[in-house]
Amino acid sequence: MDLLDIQNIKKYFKQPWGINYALDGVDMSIKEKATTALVGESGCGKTTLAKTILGFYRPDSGKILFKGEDITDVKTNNKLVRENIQIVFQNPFLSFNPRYTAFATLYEAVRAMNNISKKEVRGFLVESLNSVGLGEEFFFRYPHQMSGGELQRLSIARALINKPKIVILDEPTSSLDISTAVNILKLLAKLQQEALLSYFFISHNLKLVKRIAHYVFVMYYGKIVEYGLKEQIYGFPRHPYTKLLLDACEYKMKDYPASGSKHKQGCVFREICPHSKDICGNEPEKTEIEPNHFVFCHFV
Amino acid sequence: MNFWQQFKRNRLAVTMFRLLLVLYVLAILADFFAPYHYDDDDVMHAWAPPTRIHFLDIKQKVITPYINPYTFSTNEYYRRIYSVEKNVLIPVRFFVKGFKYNLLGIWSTDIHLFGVENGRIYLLGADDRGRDIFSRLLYGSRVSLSIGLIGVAISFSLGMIIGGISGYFGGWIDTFIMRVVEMIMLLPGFYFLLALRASFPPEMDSRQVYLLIIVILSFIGWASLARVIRGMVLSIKENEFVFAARALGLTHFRIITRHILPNTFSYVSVAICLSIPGYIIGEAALSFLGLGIQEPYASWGNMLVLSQGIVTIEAYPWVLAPGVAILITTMSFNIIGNTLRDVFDPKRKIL
Repeated sequence: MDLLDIQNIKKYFKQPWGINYALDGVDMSIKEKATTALVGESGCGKTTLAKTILGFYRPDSGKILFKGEDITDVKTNNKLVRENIQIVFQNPFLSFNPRYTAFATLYEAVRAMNNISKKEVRGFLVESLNSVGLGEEFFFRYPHQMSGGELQRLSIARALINKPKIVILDEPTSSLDISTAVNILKLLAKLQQEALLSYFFISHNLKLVKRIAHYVFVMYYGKIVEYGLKEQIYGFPRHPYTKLLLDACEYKMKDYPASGSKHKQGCVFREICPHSKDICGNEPEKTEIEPNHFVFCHFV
Repeated sequence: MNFWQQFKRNRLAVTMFRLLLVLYVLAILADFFAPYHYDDDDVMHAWAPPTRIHFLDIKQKVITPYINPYTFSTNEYYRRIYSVEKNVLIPVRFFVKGFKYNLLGIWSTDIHLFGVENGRIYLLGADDRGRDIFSRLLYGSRVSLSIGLIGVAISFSLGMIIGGISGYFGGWIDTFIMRVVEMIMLLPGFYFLLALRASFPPEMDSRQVYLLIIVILSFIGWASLARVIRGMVLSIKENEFVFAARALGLTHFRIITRHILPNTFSYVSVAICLSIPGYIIGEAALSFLGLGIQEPYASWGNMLVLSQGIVTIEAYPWVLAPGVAILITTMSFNIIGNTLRDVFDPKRKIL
């Protein structure tokens, strides 16, 4: 059984200019002790999915199961979600209360679950800081006195402090420089091995995803277009959008308009797709072309 | 570096802060510092000018401070012209016995800081009934200095909590609260105050009036603050640290009070210091119009009733002393407010 099962999640936002189909029937599963990556361009609904899993948005329809238990409505299973699913955000500078020192931030996180006094918890907090590569000298620093990389480490420490099962990494490296980003990724890999964590890694950078992911889901404007094992996606990409993303990493991509899908029906990628035909107006079937490798396209 | 160390860097603000501290100590211990009771009148000294205290005798030798007693004659407009009898010396005594009072409401005593055994001492002159303006100023400061603090405490806790709830939860709660706030803001404040005050019996006890003024002023005051706080909360709650706090399972109450509202402090600290003068002036204005604290009780507002005529001000300018006190107090709060704004901004803490 998968650790987290996302079944046909839909979330639409009503806007003055029409409906934004942020999530349009997303099916996903997050495997235990592995990294599941979700790749897609900005605005395609990756962060919306993360916030829906955490219960910040209530989905219009669909189900989210954690180890078989329904957590779609967070209110019913609040404790289960909070204990087991944590998140690391994209922008480390906004992820911390500017009035809290590193110590206060971590203590607040511990206190949310257990009732321990500040003195008892101190050694534990030092340990948790050390585990993400921060020394004790960071204990009483405020967020504005730390660099982006240090803050992102602190953010990871905060997410891991209550020993969750799943950590959602919402583009954790995209606002960091490349050397810091690699360090953070190494740290994440190390922590995963130590604590047997499952990562849900959201990114738009396929090169970084290649380093860390075991499973890759490719998303385009509210829909999953292709998913499979990392080797399958990188070795034999079948959906034209996946190919385009991989080309983009090599700067080989052609220009295309960065507009979202306006269609509820049919393939979301058909306006940009070079192989687009009339048949693309119909909903593409999910096709299994290899074991574990699924593509939503009419031409596979 | 903590807040206090930062605050201390601004000399003016520290001076004003100390001045306020002195004023508050004077207000709390008014019985001890005031030579006369607030209602201790003496018709023979009506409109007496401030007393000059002498430290040197005729031979320019330092002796214990003394004053000369007043005599007066009337001029052609029947106005008293005071002069002093230079050859009579009345020594100013410290820790003298005067009227009985309860210090801090606990110890019954009759010791006062200073006073004279015969004659009268008027540090800031006397009013129309020969009451000591200095003593009345001290007693009046109890009303004027506390009304701001209590009023602000009520209206700001209301405004922050209601504004915080409104902004954080959004939806129909937000809509409902904001419509209520708009209705309260629609009321023209001062006239509403007058109308409400007028609807209560005029012979009310001064203590009741005091509480009533606080309640009315706070009731008007929280609305505009709630609106600003709600706007700030709307922007703060979209920050990722709020989502992180929610993901950790903190309660809504804790998120609002510990993570969102503290981030409005830089605004609130300024707003508090800037609105305390509003309460002081609001009370003074009511009392000035005879609707606030009633005679014989003293407040800075009803002491200023004397200065309603330009002729009085011209003849007895010391009746403006409460006005100067109001000016100093409100200015102090404003300056402290501006300094606090700088101190509370966490991004300025670089040094």
